[in-house]
Amino acid sequence: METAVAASGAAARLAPDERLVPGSDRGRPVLPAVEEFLNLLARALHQHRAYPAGSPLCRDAISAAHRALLSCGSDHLVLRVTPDEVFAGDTGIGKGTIVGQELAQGLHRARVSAVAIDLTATPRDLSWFCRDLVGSDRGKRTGPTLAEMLIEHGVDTIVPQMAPRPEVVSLGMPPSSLCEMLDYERSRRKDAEASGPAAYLYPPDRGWVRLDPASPLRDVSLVDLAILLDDPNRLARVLLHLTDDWDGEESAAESDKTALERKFSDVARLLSSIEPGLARRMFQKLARAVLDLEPERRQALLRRTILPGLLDARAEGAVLNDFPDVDLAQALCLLLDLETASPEVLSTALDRMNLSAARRQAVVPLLEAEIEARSGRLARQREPLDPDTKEPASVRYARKLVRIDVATCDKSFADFAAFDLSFDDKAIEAIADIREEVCSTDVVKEQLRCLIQLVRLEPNPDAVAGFLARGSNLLAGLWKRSRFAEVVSWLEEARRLAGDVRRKRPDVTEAIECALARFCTAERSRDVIELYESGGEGRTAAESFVTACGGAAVPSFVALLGDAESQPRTRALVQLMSDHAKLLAPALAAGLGEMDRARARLVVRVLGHAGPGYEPQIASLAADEEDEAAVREALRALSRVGSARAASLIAERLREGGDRTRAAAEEALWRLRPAHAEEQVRDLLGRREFVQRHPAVALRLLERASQAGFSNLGRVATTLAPLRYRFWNRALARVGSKAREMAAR
Amino acid sequence: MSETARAANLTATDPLVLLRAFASLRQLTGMYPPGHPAIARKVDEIDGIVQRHLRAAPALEIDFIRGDIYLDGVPYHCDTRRTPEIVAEMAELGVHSIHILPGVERDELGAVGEYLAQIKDGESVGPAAAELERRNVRHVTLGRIVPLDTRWRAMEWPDRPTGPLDPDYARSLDIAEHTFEEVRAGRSLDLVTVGDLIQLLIHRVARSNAALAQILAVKQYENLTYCHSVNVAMLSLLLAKRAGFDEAGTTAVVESALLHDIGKTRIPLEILKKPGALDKLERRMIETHTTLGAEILVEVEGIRPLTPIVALEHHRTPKGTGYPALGSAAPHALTQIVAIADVYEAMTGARSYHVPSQPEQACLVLARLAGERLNAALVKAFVNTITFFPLGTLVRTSLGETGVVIQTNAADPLHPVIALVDESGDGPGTRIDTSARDASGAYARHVVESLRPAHGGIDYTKCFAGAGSQ
Repeated sequence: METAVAASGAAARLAPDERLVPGSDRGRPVLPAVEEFLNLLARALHQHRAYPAGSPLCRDAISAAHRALLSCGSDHLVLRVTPDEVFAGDTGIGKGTIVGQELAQGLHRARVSAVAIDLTATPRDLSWFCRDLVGSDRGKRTGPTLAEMLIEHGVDTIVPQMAPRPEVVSLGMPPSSLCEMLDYERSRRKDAEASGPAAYLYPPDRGWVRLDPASPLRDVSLVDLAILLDDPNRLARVLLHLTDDWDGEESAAESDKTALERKFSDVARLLSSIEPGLARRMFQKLARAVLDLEPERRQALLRRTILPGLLDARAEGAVLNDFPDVDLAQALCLLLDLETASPEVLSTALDRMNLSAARRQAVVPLLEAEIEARSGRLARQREPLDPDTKEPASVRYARKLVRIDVATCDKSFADFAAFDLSFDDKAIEAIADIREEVCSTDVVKEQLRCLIQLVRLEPNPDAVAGFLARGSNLLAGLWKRSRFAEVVSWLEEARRLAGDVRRKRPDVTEAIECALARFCTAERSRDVIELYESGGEGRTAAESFVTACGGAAVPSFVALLGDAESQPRTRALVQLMSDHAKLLAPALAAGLGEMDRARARLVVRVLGHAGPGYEPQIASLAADEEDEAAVREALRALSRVGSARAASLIAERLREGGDRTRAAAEEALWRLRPAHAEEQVRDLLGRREFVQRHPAVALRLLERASQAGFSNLGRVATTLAPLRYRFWNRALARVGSKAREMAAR
Repeated sequence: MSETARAANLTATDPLVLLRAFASLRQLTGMYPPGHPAIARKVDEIDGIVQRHLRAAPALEIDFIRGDIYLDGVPYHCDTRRTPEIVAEMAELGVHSIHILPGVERDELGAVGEYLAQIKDGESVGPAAAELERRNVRHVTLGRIVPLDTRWRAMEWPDRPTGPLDPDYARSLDIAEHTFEEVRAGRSLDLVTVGDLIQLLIHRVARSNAALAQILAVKQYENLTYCHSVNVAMLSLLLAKRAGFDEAGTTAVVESALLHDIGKTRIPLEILKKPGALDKLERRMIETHTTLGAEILVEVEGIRPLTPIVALEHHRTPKGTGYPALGSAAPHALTQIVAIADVYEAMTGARSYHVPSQPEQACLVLARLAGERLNAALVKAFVNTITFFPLGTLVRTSLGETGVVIQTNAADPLHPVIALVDESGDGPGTRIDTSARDASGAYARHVVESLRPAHGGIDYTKCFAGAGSQ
C-alpha cells in the first residue's frame, strides 16, 4: 500500500499548481520556526557530507531537524530555490548563512526549482533527503535526479520539483530554399488539417528553437523542425531530449544511434505527415540512417518497429521502400523468425509495400535466395505434409482461411495467411498443458512468489514488513504441513534479496532480517533440532534452514541453549550450530556479551568452529577466572581456531592467568599447530620474567618442546642454560639444566 | 577542477552582470569612437567575466526563455525586479541568447558590442551570423529563441460506451465503475461486489450476443480502467472456455482479469490518457500500476490467490521480458491468458493517440506478437474463438451490402452470418449467410472489408434481437 502512497506523492509533484504554490497550504507556516527548521536541516546536510548517515552526528542532526519541522505549523512547506537562498512564500531565507551555502546551493546544483516538505516527513525521510541531495548535487548531468532517487528510496513526503532543462535546437538562419519549402508545407497543412483538438505530442515548454535574430520565423512546429533539420538522426535526438530520455553518459555518436532507435516511430510519423514528395526525399534519408546503424541495432529496430509497422500499415514501414533491394530482402526475411509466421508473411509484406512490378520482380529472386540461405533452419521447422494436398498443415489451414476466389473479389485475403494460426494438435496439446498448469498450481507457492517479488520492488520498509508478515503466515502453514524444503527455499530467497538491496535500500534489508528473525521462533528451532537429529532428509532440511536464515536464527538458538526443556537436545543444537559456525558467528559474537555464562560457554565452543576473526570475543571469556569451565571452553575454542592470533591469546593467558587458567592454556597450547605452538613457546621461554615466575611451567614447556622436536629453540635454550647455576632455586636450576641439554643437542 | 568546485564557480557567474555589461558596451559604442577608453574598460570587464567562466565550464550560454534566464541550460533564479528590464532591452534587439565559446578574444567581444550598437541605430542589418563573421567574430553567436510547438492533433473519445447497451453489460459496467471508484478513493476492495460482478459476467453477459458484440467489435470510447477491465474479463472468459477450464478455473480467470489493472486507480488519469510521448518519470509511474495493483490485492482478505500475481505480471512476456523486472521466469499461465485479452482489448479500443483497430487487424497483431510477447498456443485459441470477423463487426460484402456479423462460422471463419444494416447503421435487416454458394459452387458473396461504425455506433441490441445466442 505504501507504493500507492508514493505514487500519490509523485502525482502531487506533477500537479505543481496544487502543491508547490506558496500559500496553498491550509495552515500558514510559522516563519521563525521554518527558519529554524531550515537551519537545522542545512546542518544535518552538512553532517551528511562529512559523516556516514548512520553516525550519531547525522542521527542527532536529523532528530533535531525533525523536531523543528513538527513545530512549523503547516501541512507542508513549499520552498522555492534560488542559487543562494530559499523562499518560503515571499520571504527569502538563508542568504549568506549555512542555509544558503548548504541547502540552497545544493538544491540549485541538483537542478531543483522547488521542494515541498510534508509535515508528516519522518526522520528516515529527512535522512534520505540529505543522503540523496549530497549524492546528486555534484552538478552532474547524468544519473537519476533527486526526485527519482527519493522515489527509489520510498520517500513520498518530500517532493522536489526539478527545473526542466530546456532543449534548445540551434538552427541559425535557415537557407531560403528550406524556408520556401516550409511556407508551402505550412499552407498545405493549414488546408488539410482537421479541426480535432490539439494535444501535446511532446511536453510543452521543453523545446525551443534558436534562430538567427534576423530570421522571420516566429514559431516552429515539430513538422517544421523535421523539414528544417533535414536530418533524421538529429530530429530523433531532439525528440529524445524533449522527453528527458537522453542518457548523458552516452557519447554524442552513441546517443545519435540510440535516439533513432528509441524515437523511430515518432520520426516516421512526423515525416509521413509532410507533403508526399518531400516526405519521400526525407524517408530516403531515414532509410540511409537505418542502414548506417550497426547490424545488430538495425536488426533490432527492424524486428521491433519497422517490420511490425509494415504489417500493421503504419508509417514506420514506409522506410523499407527506400532500402536497396538486397537490404530489403534481408529485412523482410526477418519476418520469418516470428513464431507463427508462415511463408505467406513475405508476400503480405510485399503487398503492403505496393512495389512497382519491376521492383517486385527484382526483389523476389533475392528473397528466394535469402530463404534458401535459411533453408537449414526452415527444414528443421517443417511440418508433416498433408497427404491429399501435399502441403504443410499450416498452409492448408491458411488456404482454408483464404478460401476465396481472389479473381472474383476486389480484396486479397493473403493477410490472414501471413501467420499460421491453425489450432492444430500441437496447439491443442499446449493448451492442455496450460490447463493442467492452472489446475495443479500450488497456490501457496505462487502467493509466496508474489510476495517476494513485491518485497523486491517496494522501497518502503513498512510495506515490505507487511508483505513479509503475510509471507510468514503462509510459511507457518507450510511448516505445519512439514513442507520444509519450500519454506527453506523462500527463506533463502528472502535472505539473498536482503543482501542484494543492502546498498540501495538498507532499511528494506533490515526489515527482511527482522522478519527472518521473527520467523525463527524457539518452537521452530526445536523442530529444526529434531529434524537434525532424525538424520537423512530431515538433517538436510535442518541444515538448509540454518543456511537460509543465517544470523536471523541465532536469537532463538541461543535462547534454546539455556532452556531446560531443550536440554536433552543441546548437544545436537551445538553440533548444528558448529556445522554452520562461520555463518552464525557474526550474530553470535555480537550477542556474546549479553549472555549468561552457561550459554556463553556453548556459544564460545561454536565460535571455535568459525575460524579466525572472533578470537578477541572468545578470549574475553577466557579472562573470566571465576568460571573455570568457561575458561577451559574458551581456550579450547582458541586452540580450535588455531590462528596466530589465537595462539598469541593462549600464550597471553598462560603468562597472565591464574593457576587453573595456566593449566588449561598449557593444554590448549599443545593443541595448536606445531609452528604456532613453537613460536609461542619460544616467545614464552624468551621472557625471563615468565620463566622466573613459573619455572615449573617453563620446564614442562621445554620438555614438551624437546619431545615435539622443535628445532628453533636453540637460542632460547642457550639464554636459559645459565639458570642451572641457580642452586638456591631448584626449579629454576632444573630449567637451566634442561635448557643446556637442549642447547647441547 | 572537481565537479563541486566547478558547480560552485558556475553559480558565481551572474548572467545579469554580464548582460548589463553588454548593454552598456552597446551604448558606449554608439556614443564614443572605436578604441575610446570607456569602451576598452567595458570590454575588459566583459572579457574578465567571460574568461573566468570559461575556465570552469565548456561554454558560456545565456538564454532568455519565457522571461527566465538560463545559464548553461540551468535556470538562474535571480531578483525578479531587476530581470525584466534587461531581458526586454535585449529582446527588443531580437537577441534572446548569447553563446560564447572558449578561445574568444577581447576584440571579438568588442565587435559584438559594435554589432549590437548597429542594430540599435536601426541600420539595416543582415543575418547576425554573417555580420559577426564579417567582423571576425568566431566564438560568439547571438540567437533569437522561439518556442517549439509540440502540439499534435489528438482524438477525443467518450469515456464509456455511448448508445444502447445490453442491460446486463451496462449493469456490469456500472458495478465495475463503482468498485474502481471506491478503490480510487482509498477504500478497500469490496469483494462481495466483485463476486456478484463475476457471476453477472459469467452467467448473464457471456450469454448475450449483443453484449459480446459490444466487447469484441471496435470500441469507440476510451476507457483504461473499469470498461477495459470488464472487457478484458469477458475476453479472458471466452479464452478460458475455449481452453476447457472448469468452473473454478474460469472464475479465477475472470476475477484476475477484472482486477488486473486495479493499480491504475492509483495513477492520475491525465497521465494514463496523455496523448503524447511520456517522459521517463511518467513512464515509470504508469509502469508501477502492476506493482500497485498487486499491493492492493494482496491486502484483500479472501481474494483468489492468483489474482495479485496476474496484476503483477500481466505486462511480462513468456520470455521473461517486460515490466516489472522480475527475473527471467515466464509469468503464470493465468497471466498469459489475461495478457492476450488485454492486448486485444487495447488494440480494438480507442486511445487518444490512436484510432481503434479493426478486430481482424488486432488478431494479426496478436499473431505477430505470438511467441515473442504472447503465448502462441493461446493466441491461436483466442483467434480461433473470436475469428477475424467476430460478432458485432460491421462489414461490407463484395455485393456492396453492409452488415453486422451476428454469427461466426467455425468451419469457414471468413464467411460469417451477417444482418444487413442501412447506411446509418440502423437495422437489423435481412439475415445473410455469406458462406452460401451459387449454382456453380462459388461463393455468392465475400466479406470484402470491415468498416468503422458511424460515430453513434451500432445498436447491437436491435441487431441481435431474436438472433439467439452463439
